Amino acid sequence: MNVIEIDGLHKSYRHRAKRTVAVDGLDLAVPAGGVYGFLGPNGSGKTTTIRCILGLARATSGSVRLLGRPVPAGLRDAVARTGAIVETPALFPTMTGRENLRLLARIDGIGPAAVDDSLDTVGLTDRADDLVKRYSLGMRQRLALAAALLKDPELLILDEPANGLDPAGMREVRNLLRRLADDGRTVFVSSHILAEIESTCDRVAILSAGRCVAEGTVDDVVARAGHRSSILVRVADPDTGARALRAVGLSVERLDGALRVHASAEHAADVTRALAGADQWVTELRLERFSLEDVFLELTSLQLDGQSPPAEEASLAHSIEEVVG
Amino acid sequence: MRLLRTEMRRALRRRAVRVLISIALLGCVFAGVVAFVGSAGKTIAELRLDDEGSPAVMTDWWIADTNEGYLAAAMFFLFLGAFFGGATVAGGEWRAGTVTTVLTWEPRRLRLHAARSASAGVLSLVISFALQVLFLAAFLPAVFVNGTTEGVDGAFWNGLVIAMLRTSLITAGAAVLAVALATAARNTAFAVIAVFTWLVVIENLIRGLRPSLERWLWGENLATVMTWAQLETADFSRGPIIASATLLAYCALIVGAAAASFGRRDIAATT
Repeated sequence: MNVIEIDGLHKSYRHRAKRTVAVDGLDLAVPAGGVYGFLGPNGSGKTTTIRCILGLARATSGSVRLLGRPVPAGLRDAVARTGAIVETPALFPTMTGRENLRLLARIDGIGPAAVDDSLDTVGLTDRADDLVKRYSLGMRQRLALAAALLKDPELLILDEPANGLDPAGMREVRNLLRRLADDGRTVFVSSHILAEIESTCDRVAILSAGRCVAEGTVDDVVARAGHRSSILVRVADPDTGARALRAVGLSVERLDGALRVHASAEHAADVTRALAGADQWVTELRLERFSLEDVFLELTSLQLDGQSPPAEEASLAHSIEEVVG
Repeated sequence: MRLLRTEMRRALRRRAVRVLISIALLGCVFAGVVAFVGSAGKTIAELRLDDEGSPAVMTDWWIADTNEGYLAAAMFFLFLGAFFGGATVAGGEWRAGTVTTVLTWEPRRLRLHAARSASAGVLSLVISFALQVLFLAAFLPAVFVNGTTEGVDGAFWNGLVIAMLRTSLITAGAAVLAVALATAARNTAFAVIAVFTWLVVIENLIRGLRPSLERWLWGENLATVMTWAQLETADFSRGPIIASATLLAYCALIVGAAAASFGRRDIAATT
């Protein structure tokens, strides 16, 4: 079952007679369970998409279903099972953290015990009775997360939840998201901090200029974007080494004092064997892996430059579904 | 009801609302002190001779025959306070971005808007009535020490309570109207400036340029409802029932337009 289904979502705004397209024909299916990363540079349409999912903005065209319910008609039922943070956490500054949560909890008839549990989960119990206007951005972010957790939701939609957090706080949030997903919830998290997402998410979608340019597991997205891992080796005579490697059918790139062999980690033994056979003893061997960040920057910069992504990348969303599905 | 209670709690936690209530309470104390000092050393006859009446003479609090009295002085301030309070409750939510937060809990916008309007109305009604009671109670030392309760009977109390209830209803309407305007514009200042401009500038222009339209102006209808007396001018005559209906119609139109706008617009985190 998909917890979020977006079909041909298009959202444009008119501002001073100028029309701006924020989301341009987005298709997305977020399966239940796990952490789903929704990535994109600033202005790529992530927040607009989240607002459309939560019924805060109306789609110009296309359809959205949240937990199987159409948006906005079935929102009441879906929202009751969804915890969300949208953009910067907006809370009542003249109330304490605990009062904020209690006030929200009352809307759904949630008792004070759940408030205490939520505060404890995000590590805010000690500061729960301070006024929110005295909170740092990181503490507000935690409080917003606590508010999102209050409903014990099946689905969490979090827009940049690590904003304003220090490294320790970011790690805590990352661990929390993982723990929530391991408990059987679905966590849909938007971010432009790729390192956070890469280590936490089961699946990702990369958004650029309002369009999805890649979707799938992190490994699949990296692989399908055409990036292969490589092996970097250093030997005394790189020219001789390169000839020896090419002789056994490996693709080699000559670098400054080193060689880059375009092969996966499984071929490391072949590399050392070929070099040893040519009397070239390896002084350094290192596996080079492409990160999600490399793919992200490549895909999104292509879009921002006004170029179409390569056909392979453009069809990633579908092709990876086939591979994974 | 849960949503209504939540909205009422939130409104009462707004600093502007608390400041307004505090100012009103200080005003009551000040009025009580002025009444006591002003009536000290005077005989009842001297107090009765005063053209404007005296707060130390209880029957001067509200004169049913002329629909005047010391209570009328409080009406204008209560109306202003309720309007500003209502505007700040709605406008503050937009400024802080908490509208987004609340909508992720209650996505039915019309229900939320109705709860917010109702909470502003109910709170204004109750607070306004309580403040009127306190305002008049502040005169009690002057009445019991320097003045008189002579002439106070069931008819007086009846007229006084009805006038207080009417004032409370008007302030409730002002608060609901303010919530509607601040919601439509997503801004406290807009609501305040719009109403000020309408009442002070535009209505005065209409009075000068198109006197035949005076019967439709807020000012004339408000004055008629506040005093609950027939308004007679050279051009028209306006009864309190028609004036009430006119004001209700204006209010319904603005509240409806604000609800429609809130129901359809895209919600950003902050304005």
